[in-house]
Amino acid sequence: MSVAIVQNKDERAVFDEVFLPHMAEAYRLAQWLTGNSYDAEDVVQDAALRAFRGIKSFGAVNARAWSLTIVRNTAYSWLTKNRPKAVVFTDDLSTAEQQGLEHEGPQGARIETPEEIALFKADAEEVQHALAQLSAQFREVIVLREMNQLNYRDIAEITNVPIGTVMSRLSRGRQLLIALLGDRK
Amino acid sequence: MIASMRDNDQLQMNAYCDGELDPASAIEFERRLAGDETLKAQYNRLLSLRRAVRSLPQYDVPAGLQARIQSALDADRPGQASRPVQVGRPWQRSWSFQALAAAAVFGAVISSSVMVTMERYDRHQDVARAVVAGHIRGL
Repeated sequence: MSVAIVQNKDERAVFDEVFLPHMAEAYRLAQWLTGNSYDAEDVVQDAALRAFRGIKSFGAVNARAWSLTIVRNTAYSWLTKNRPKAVVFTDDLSTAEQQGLEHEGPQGARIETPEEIALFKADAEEVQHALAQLSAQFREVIVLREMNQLNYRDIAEITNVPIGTVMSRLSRGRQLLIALLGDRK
Repeated sequence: MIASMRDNDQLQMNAYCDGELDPASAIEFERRLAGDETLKAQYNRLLSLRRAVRSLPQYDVPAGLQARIQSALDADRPGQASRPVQVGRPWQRSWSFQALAAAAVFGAVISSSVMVTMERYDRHQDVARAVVAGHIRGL
């Protein structure tokens, strides 16, 4: 869809073509970021209005990334306003989180703990709980990658960070998840 | 330096797992994977984690959400950024009902206060009348 078409077509029709096909992914992302369905609904509705009002700015390149970017930014605005503690920058990892990343022996080889051996006997509820415990920046890249199956480039576009940062967050987020699931009782 | 290498290993392993390495780097990583048991164990753990996360139940879009969005769009026009975005569940957005209920309660409280005050005032008036009547009788 070219920019000219966007300008010539009815804006509502363009919105329907651009945003609505990604509603399921939008809702899924909002649900993972806000942590519950009610807030996710509010975020998606707010994002839809923002998308509609800004439909002329749609660059006609990647409707999916464009839509999810708006949802993601709306979710962060919502979190900043309603749950500021949930928005933690990844450089601010707690000591416990850092330790979770560093089960390493003296030679730098990662030690496989007994907990890790039993790691993936975890049921869905435990995995869900562990994922919910991650900070929003780690959680979002994992959700965008694993649930929405987006590539690094699209994730970088949506989260507005370089691809290297996406790689780093994915790696650290996954290590944290492994540590969290390994530490479960 | 060692820490840096470990970080790079992690990044490369994740990128390989996600199919994001270029063909030459992927072949090189596979060669290392075949000869490094520690790396292989980490890679298997990563694959297990990915399976576990991907097998989580997906959230379905609530039935009424699309209709809610369409209604919100009907009440809106593109380019009117100055209009505030109304967010909230229906019972939150229809605050006029809550305001009405609050006004009713407030009104009831005010009315009962006035009644009590009037009653007290009447009693006070009775006492005053009695005092005046006593004075008149004393004349």
